[in-house]
Amino acid sequence: MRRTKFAAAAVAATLTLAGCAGGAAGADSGESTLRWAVTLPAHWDPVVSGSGAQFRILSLAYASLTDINEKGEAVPSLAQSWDYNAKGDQVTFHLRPNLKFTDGSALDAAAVKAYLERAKTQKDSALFGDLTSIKTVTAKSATDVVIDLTQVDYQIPLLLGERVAQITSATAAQDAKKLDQSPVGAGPFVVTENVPGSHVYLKKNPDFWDAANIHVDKVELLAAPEDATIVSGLQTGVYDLANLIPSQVKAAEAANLDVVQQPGFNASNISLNVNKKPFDNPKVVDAVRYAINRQEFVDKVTFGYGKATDQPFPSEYLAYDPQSANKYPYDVAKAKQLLAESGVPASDLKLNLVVPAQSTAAEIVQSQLAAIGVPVTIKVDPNWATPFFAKDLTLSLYGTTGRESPVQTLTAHFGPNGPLNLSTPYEPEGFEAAVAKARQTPLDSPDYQANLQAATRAGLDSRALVFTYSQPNLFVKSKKVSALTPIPGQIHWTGLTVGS
Amino acid sequence: MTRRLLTGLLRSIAIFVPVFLVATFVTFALRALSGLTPAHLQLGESATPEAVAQIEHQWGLDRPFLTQYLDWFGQLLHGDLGTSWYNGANISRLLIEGAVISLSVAGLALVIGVVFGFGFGVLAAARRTTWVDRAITGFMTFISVMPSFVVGIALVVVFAVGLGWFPSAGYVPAERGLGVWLAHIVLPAVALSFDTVSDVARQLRSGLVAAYRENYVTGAVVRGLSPRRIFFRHVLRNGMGPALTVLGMKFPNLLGGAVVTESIFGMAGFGKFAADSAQRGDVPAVQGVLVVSVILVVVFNLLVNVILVRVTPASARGV
Repeated sequence: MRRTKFAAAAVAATLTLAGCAGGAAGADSGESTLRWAVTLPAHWDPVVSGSGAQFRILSLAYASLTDINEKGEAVPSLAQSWDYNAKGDQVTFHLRPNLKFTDGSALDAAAVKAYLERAKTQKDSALFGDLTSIKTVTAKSATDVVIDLTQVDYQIPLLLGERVAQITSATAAQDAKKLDQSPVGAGPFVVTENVPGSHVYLKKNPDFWDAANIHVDKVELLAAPEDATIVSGLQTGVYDLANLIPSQVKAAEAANLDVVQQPGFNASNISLNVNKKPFDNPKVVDAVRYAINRQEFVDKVTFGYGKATDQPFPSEYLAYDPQSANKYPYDVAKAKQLLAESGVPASDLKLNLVVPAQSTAAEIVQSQLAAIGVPVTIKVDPNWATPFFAKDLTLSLYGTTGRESPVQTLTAHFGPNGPLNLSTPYEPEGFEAAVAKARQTPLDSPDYQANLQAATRAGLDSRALVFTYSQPNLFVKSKKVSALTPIPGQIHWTGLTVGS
Repeated sequence: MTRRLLTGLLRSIAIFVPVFLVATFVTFALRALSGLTPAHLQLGESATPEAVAQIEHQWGLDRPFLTQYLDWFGQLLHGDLGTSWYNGANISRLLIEGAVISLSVAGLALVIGVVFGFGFGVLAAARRTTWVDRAITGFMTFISVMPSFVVGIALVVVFAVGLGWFPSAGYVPAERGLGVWLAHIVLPAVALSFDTVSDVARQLRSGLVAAYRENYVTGAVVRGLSPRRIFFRHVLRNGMGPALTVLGMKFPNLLGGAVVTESIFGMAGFGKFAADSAQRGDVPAVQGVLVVSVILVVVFNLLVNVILVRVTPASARGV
């Protein structure tokens, strides 16, 4: 009996302690702190880091050569302006004067040159494939970087934004392994503590070129908990901002939190390999195209927060081609008929759908293909990326976060070397010419959008990809965090405030 | 006593070494068989076969299997577990950082388990066959089948969101204040402790009830010893063996089984690290986890054996 009394006393003591702690945990001496629950980036060297979602986080520590605005147009950042030569195969970026990395070294033309060359040549670079247009980089003066191109390419200012040109300190990059753990950039914040897998603390960088518009003193990146407890974490003030999965939107709204649907370039697809049976038969590919009911993905994967798309972008994007919309409407009867006409024996139609992790989307594909008589087995392979990017798979799924440069998005999906083209070196006829034309059209030309859409149209002839749905980037934030600027695919830190 | 301890220690080491060798060797072999590589973790969309080969060469994965294993083992003896494929971080450091968090939570869970487990167990045994005993036994059965993620979420809903007594997630090191530290680990520790409380309570109850039936207890009663003396000198010492053993088994479980609790409470502990690493196919990290787990299990078994020998005289004779 005495033991239980003791136990009760212990609990009471704990509760009292906890009560005291509640105040201590929240109080911070007048500094504004943004606590962001997030999947922490594995790499802090932008050259090594590989996905669009990670660059979003790295943008805390690094500034990029250019930025994009709400319309997705290239705007000044580290480079305050740029100009092309008459032919369009050389572009000169004019950097802001007196820029500095957080290690004190100068962010000048030589540093930009060193970065781009590193991104092209470093062995573990995830960016070299994006830089094929760049022939040479020359530091003409302290602030002028001249880039000679291998082809006429007006996309370079879009390309050298957050995804490809987050500039790293040349001094720090001499030890690339170290840089990958402790970033040295010229971004709005500087990392003060990094415990991989646990947390990253950052404080405001007074030397950031736009520091006057950074109103947050500290950022704490915290490893996101289970999806089910993210909302309660925001409710109790443990986090201020978090990425949100669609199934939690209702809970977040019920908890009186702000759900932010940040626009993006995202699009998901079913990747087919036309070099392998049975997709070497165009009728089978067409059957698959007609078999897909995109609305089911929107309803079950995105809980209605996404939109169906049959192109590598959402339908409101400038490169979306309205002429190609709904080219292959959902039609099971037609799909079955095409399959019968193809004459492919049933044994060839048994397919493995190889995906990196169990997903609702995979199950939807399985059931929709089963409905036209194509039996699909889902194979979860954690090592999926190796056969996928080696183009060894026959059927798989992919979702892109998109790129700032629409031409780059097109070549990634439809180009003969495109990383997202499971059927390389296959390329739809006419795509090369169409994409070259789009690339050669200045961004402010009245023909730009038409040429871009023509390139999309040519690309969509590709039998290697069936696009399914697009989903905005979902975030949840507490009321004390000001509105996020709706920059597609990114989060910009300028102007953001965190109240107390 | 010391001699027996020493033999026990030697015997444990004799078991530990081959188990350890086989376990690590098998993990290594699994990597070779599975074809997992750090390349895709690193390259993403740029994972062309050439780039993959280049990165594998960088990591020395194109060397013969045995060379790799022996190399790793040599480094291990120097306390170096290598670097993670996923983020290139030092694994020994990550494991220590994670273990501090997990030990905090598991330690508190163990304390709760001991206090409440013993409390309920003793109470049930003292009031055996009464309604108190039945209520406790029923309650213990109930909490032992509650999955910790359900308990965790319920605790968050009630104590963090509803009452606002505790933070709902995160971890703050003890250097930043004992109160804050404790506040952050209370809910996860409670969620984690349910299993321990119920197991210890049930084992203790049956151990004590059995001990009460022994002749020496009847003898003591006949000799007119006070109930308290009978309980502490005769019943408890002889009846707590099974409960202690369960407790010894529990600690490694608490550490390893904390995956769910840690992910619900957003804590970067050992269990979460283990699960994440396994999911990512981060082989060196998984091997590091394995090494530490094997050591933990052995150390705790040893500890329990020592305590058992000291507390319950009978166990010294057997085992």
